[in-house]
Amino acid sequence: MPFLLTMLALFPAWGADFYVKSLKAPLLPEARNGVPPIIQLERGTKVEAGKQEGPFTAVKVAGQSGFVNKLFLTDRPPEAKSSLLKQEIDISTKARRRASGFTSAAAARGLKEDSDAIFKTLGDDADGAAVKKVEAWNVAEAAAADFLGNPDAAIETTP
Amino acid sequence: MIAGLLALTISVTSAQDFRMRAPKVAQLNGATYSAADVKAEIEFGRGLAARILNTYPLVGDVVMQKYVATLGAGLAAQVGRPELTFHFAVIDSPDVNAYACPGGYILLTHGLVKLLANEAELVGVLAHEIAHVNERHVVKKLKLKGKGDSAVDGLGAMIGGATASFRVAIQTLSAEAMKLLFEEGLMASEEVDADKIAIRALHATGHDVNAWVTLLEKLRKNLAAGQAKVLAKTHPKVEDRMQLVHAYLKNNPNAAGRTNEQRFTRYAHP
Repeated sequence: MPFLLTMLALFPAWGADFYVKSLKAPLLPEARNGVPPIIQLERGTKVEAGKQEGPFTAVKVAGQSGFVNKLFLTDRPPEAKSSLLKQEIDISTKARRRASGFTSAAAARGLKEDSDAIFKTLGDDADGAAVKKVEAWNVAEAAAADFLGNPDAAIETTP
Repeated sequence: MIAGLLALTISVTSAQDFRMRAPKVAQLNGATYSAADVKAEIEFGRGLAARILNTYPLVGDVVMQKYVATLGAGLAAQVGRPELTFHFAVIDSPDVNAYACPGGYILLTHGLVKLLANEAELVGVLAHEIAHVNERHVVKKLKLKGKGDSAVDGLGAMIGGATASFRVAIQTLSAEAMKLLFEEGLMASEEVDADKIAIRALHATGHDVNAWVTLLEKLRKNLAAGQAKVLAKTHPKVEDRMQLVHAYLKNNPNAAGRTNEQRFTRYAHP
């Protein structure tokens, strides 16, 4: 019995399927930050999860094993971007194709003229133009994630 | 090397496939909300942000705005709800606070940005607000849904609706949301949950978790000086929040990371 318990402690119970929720999740050789990742897993990648080690989860993926921060994982496939268009469009892929890191969020989300309906409904209480300005400052996910992870990265300072 | 390339190819393929597998109108995240609910949430949040911006205009420093927007979008890409496009901006208010509107519209006061000392503290604040959106705290409180027969359930159809009663219903809901954000606040347990996610997000993205301690210490001093009154009213006691982060640091002694003070100073405190 002690032998069995020792074996269970040493070897995680693999089997639960999880999915990468974050745009990128480093697969680390150890359950800690600061070590070079084995590979960067992309959003939607299915992994086989094992035991927890603090904030990290042991995972197996594509014949490799390592650790992923569990904040980057979810127990079901992540959904594609929602938009205000009636037609479902996966805009995240389109945004990534853009050459420039900076892109119009409104364009990326495929907003139409009639997406201003909420502003019309709220009337003088709402500053819709200011919201559109905020949306125009948005950045494609991949470029923004690179900025977050690279302290030397700069932003485009041209107004 | 070959194994690595093979693994990369497989993981990329999996990433491309998942969108095809996801149903068009699915129940998301534990069957609690639908794609129609998400659309209604985005539209409502967009309107709520417009209301806040009607009261507090945007800070005119575009470089700072782009910095906060870029950092926020990067963080949201890593820890936000994948189905949303998050937006971030700084509003011209001396208060020390931040507001998470449904659908991913997050507004920080200039007073808060001035209080921050480095990028890790800013990442902590942004992650806390992203957590409120992820957990749909305002949406749940107001019981917003995209489709249904009642006034609140039928939000998707009501937005832009032609009748006066629709407009009044949306205006009333929006006013309730303003009151929730600016006067009543969310539940203490929801703030604690957002703190927990902020701390974990700092660690997960390689930022210094100690930044959450330094920020809370500054908030405590502010509160003692009689400032940040609204935040004091709408958030749990700083001491309780401090206990959370100290417990995390005790369990994760390697949670120190980067602060990026130089970049923060260049863009946010020029």
